[in-house]
Order: sequence, then C-alpha cells, then structure tokens
Amino acid sequence: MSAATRQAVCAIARRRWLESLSACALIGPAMFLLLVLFILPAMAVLAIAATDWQFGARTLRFVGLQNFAQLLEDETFRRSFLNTLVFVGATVPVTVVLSLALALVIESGRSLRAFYRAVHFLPFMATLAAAAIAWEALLHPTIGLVNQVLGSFGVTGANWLRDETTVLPALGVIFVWKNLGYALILFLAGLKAIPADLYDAADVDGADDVIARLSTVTLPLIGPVAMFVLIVVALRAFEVFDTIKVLTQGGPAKASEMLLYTLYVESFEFMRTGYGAAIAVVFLAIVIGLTLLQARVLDRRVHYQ
Amino acid sequence: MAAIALESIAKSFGHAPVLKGVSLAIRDGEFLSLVGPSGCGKTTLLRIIAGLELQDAGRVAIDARNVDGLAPKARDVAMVFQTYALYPHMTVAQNLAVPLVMRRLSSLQRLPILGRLLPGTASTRAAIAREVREVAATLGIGELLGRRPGQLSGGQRQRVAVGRALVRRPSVFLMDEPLSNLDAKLRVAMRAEIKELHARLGVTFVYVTHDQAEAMTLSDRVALMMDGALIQIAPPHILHDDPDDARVAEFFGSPPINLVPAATLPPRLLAATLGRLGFAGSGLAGFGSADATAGLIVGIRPQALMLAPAGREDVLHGRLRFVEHLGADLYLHVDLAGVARPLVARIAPAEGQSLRPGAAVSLLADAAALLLFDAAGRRVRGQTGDVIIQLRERSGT
Repeated sequence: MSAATRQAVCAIARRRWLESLSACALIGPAMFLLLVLFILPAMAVLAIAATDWQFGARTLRFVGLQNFAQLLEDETFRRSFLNTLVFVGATVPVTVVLSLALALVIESGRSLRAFYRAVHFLPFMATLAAAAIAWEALLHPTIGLVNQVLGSFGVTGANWLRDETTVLPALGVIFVWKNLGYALILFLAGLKAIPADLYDAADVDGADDVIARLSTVTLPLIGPVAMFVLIVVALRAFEVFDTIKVLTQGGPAKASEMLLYTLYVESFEFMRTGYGAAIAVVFLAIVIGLTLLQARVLDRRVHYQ
Repeated sequence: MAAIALESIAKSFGHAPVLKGVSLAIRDGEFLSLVGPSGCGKTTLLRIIAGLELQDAGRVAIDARNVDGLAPKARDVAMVFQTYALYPHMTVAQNLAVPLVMRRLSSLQRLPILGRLLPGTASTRAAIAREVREVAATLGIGELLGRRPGQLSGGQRQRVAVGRALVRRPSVFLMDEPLSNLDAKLRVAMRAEIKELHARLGVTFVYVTHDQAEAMTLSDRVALMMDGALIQIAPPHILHDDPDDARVAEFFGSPPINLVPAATLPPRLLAATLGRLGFAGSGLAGFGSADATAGLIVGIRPQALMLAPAGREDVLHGRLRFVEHLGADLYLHVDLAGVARPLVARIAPAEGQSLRPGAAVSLLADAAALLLFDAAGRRVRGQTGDVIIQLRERSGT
C-alpha cells in the first residue's frame, strides 16, 4: 500500500467516524425521550411485577413469578380478563362493520357529506368522563330517556348499568357510539384514496351494480385500511376504562370488571403495586401483540402497487 | 365493427364549459386520434363516448344506434386508461377475466364458493380461462398470468390493460393517453404494437393523446381540439401541409412552424408568396407595403428555410442565437429584426457546420411552401378576390 492510498484510507475512516458521531447526535434527543418515557418505565413495570412492593412501602421483596401465579388463581382477574375478551370480541366487529357501512353510504351520497362526517365524529371529540355522565342520565332506570321511550311503547326497560346481564352490552353501546366516528373518518379517507379510474374500469368491464363494484373494487382496496381500523379499535377496546370508573366501578358483582380497571384498583386503591404491575405486564403483552400483528399484516397487504 | 357519430356534444363542469358543441363522425374501422393541449376537452369527449360521463346536450350513436341512455357495459366499447386502472389485488389472469366474468356469469354464479356449485359455472369459467390464455399469448404476457400488477413493469402493465380491453372483442377501442406513462423508447415500441393491433383487429379506435407525433404516426385521421371545440379533422399529412388554422399549423410539426407578421418580411419574398396565390399583377396597389399587409401572418415551416447563397435579395437577414444539433438535422434559431420570436430553420448538418452563435445569417424561404393566415388565425388560401376583400377590410379602405 503506498503512502497516498494509506492516507486516503485514513481520510475515509475519519469521515466514517464523524458521520456516525453526527448520526448519534441526531437521534440522541428522540432516543433519550423514548428511553425516559417508554423503555425505562416498561422495564420498571417488569421489575416491579417480580416484587411484592406496596405503593409507599419502604421495603420490597423479590418474589419471582409469584404475582403471575396468583393472577391465574384470582377470580377477579379471571373475570376481568374474560369480560375484556367478550367486550372486545363484541364491540370491535360491530364498530368496524357499522362504520364501513356508514362511510359507504356517506361517500355515495352527494349532499351534506361534511355535516354527516361532523355529526358522527362529535362523540369522539367529547370527553368520555363527561359523556359517561350524560349516558348515565339517559340509562337511568326510571327517569332516563331510554326507559321513558321504551315505556311509551309498552316495554319495560332494564336497570341497564346495575343489572349483571345488561351492564356489559350497555358499556359496549357507549364504546361503539364513541368510536364509530373515528373509524368512520379513517374509512372515509380510505375510500377517497381508491383511484376513480378503477371505478371507471369496473363500469366499462361491466361490474357496475352495487355488489359487483363493492366486491371488485371497494372492499379489496379498502382491505388494508379495514385491517388498520380493526387493530386500532381493538386496542381502544382493550383500554376501556373511563366509563367503568365513572359509571359502574366494575360492578355489579364484577360483571363489568375489565383489565385496565382491575389494574387501576389493584395498584392505586389496594396499593398492591407489584400485583398491579403483573396485570400491567399482561396488558402490555396484549397491546404489543396486536401492534406487531398490525405491523406484519400492513407490511404485507398495504403495498399493492 | 362500428361507426361512431357525435352530434353537437356540449358539456360543462360547474360553470366552466369543457365541450362547446362538438360534432364528429368516426368511420367504421378507422383509427382516429383526438389531440390537443391539456384541458381542451379531448378526454371528456372520450369519456362521453364510453358512457362514463354524460353530455349536457347532443347525441352519441355507435353503429347507428343511439347509446345516450346506455351504461358503459351496454355500449360494446372497451377502454384503456392512462393509469391502466388494473385491479391491484388481482393477478394478471384475474384482471383479464373480469370483463368476461361480469358478462357471462350471473351474480349468483360469481359468489366465491356457492357459485362454483351452480350448473354451468365450471364450464363457463373454463372457457373464460382459455380465452384469457389466448389473449395473453397474443400480447406476449402469457408467462405473467400469475403475477399481480404491482410486480409488473410499466410496459407489461400497459399490455395487460390492452389485453383486458381486447379480451371481450369489443367493436370500439377507446384509449386515453395509453402511452404517456412509459419512457420514450418504450413509447415508440408500443406505438408500433398499437398500430399492428389496429391493423389486425380492424375495429374502430379512438385514441386520445397530447403528443402530435403519436397522433400523426398512428392515425388514419386526426382531430385537433382546442378550448372545447374541434378545429380541424383530417389525415395527418393534410393537417401538416394544408392546415385550416394557424393553431393547427402550430400544433403539428416539430420544431413548430414559424409564424411571422407579413409586414416584417422582405417585399420580394412576400410578393413571390402572393404571386403563387394569384396576386401578381392583380392591381392591388403597393401590395408589398406595410399597411396593406398589416393583418397577414406568414407561416414558414422550419424545413422550408435554407441558408441563402450570396447575391439574392429576397432573403431574411438575421443573427444566429444558437444551434441545436439533433444528429440528422441542425435547428438554427435566428433572431430577425422586428420579430419577437426567433425563427427556427431546419438544415442539413453539413451546411451549418461553421456557424457560431452571433453570426449574421441569411435565410432563403421556399415561397411555394409558405402558408398565409389572417389576423384571427384563419388560413388564407389562394382565392384572389376573397383575400383582397379581407385585406381591404383590415386596412380600413
């Protein structure tokens, strides 16, 4: 190697080093925030979940997986977990299908589109805690509007939020009401993104009735958006908390006990922080699982072109 | 096999008129191009023929049958879109099959699983698959049938789009700038293929493009549209050699025709041009003078200009601005005193080898090849009386 080439190699190495230094400087701030706000707390939760720490206590003991073993035995947690699954399984399909149908109807009409969009989006903008109180009034067994209306048709309404059989469906309705507009907006955006040329081609090809257009163009092309909406709504359904805290506190008889509420009660009412952290780990696992699924599916399905 | 008749088609989007009463008769089996600058309404006209857009006024007839109330699928037309509009979630084979599936299978038979159990579905599907393979083979995309559009190159997608139009043997082919998304080399190759396709099928083609070269090379006749109106419809060589309008002359031919106010031309050149048109000794006093020819515009094709030999008087004196080398040709851009735009002359490379920007050049125009237009851009042809009257009106006498 001659002196000149050695010098050139040194120059390249020096430039590489400078480049990696500036790269570190550029991702530094974001990395710091991610670390402080997300990664460290998540690791702390994992660590706390392996202890018997009680909130405010000065001592703690390492208990390994004992908290998780206890979760499996815990009737409240099992009930809570099952309720959450039922809630998610019922509300997510209803929200997705209903919002897609609404989006198709709004998009196919010419007039008042902005009005319909706004009306359906309003619940999503409302503070859920406040809206929950309005719902409580609506669902009041004697003076609530729902039962008054039912009564005028001769139907005796239930005590919606205090009845074990109706409390979960009632919370489900509130969830759908709240999230329909959000899913709707996403679907409307997705419908707008379908190239108009494809509908023209379908027209010329003879796929011009509603069913044929839906099956040839609309549904296949809205597929990736639908997948995204499905996962996002599912995440939101897993996180349901405000309505339970305000309206039912998990009752009656734990009929509306759900994961995030149980987590809150264990951690901040019973002060069993270690045990609460174990629930948080379960919750985190579900959320991360859904997010990974979303990333995988979207990676594969979005990029048609 | 179908002729298309358009009768005073008008269309506006909101308050903006896009088509202002276009009438056009397209012959059976003809290759007709609609050309014009963007926004001239050519695509809208094509979409009205297809039935994708409804005209505000006027009638469309295909094969002597009024189709105004008919949906696109009932008009027996096929269309190739600029973006190809292939269904991205379907394979090439499925894309090609869509027009046949939609026509031959009932909505029940099209159902995913149940449809297969209905009588006749299997045999119809087999027939469709066979026809799809045949069309794919003729277009050279047989080995692509299992791929999706996203995995194809631009040229391959274009072939699939043509195949989807071809597969159900329509009597009219509508093409909306089908080559504009391809690179220059591929465009020329596909141009030849479309020409062959037309020769083989013998059906009516209506082809929209903004590219004059495409229109000239492909078409039996070309219709030039501007601002929602038809300017001239004629075979390509007529549009180039004998245009009705200055806008037509300007649109066709590359580099574009030089349009020069007559007053700035040397009297002898002008006299020679007018003489050819029958003005020599016609008694129009002082015809070479500036005021009598004030409104006239002279069109000179770049190839009608040549470098002048020494000693001629009817030449254009100018200064060379720059030279474009195009291999087989040289384009000289020459500034003329009193003319806003430089004149472009197309000459053989050997003649202009020594020319440098800034040099003084003398150009000789072939008087027989000059075209005259009045101030409104209308062609002035050699009817002596008409022109004299037109010129007198313009000069106010």
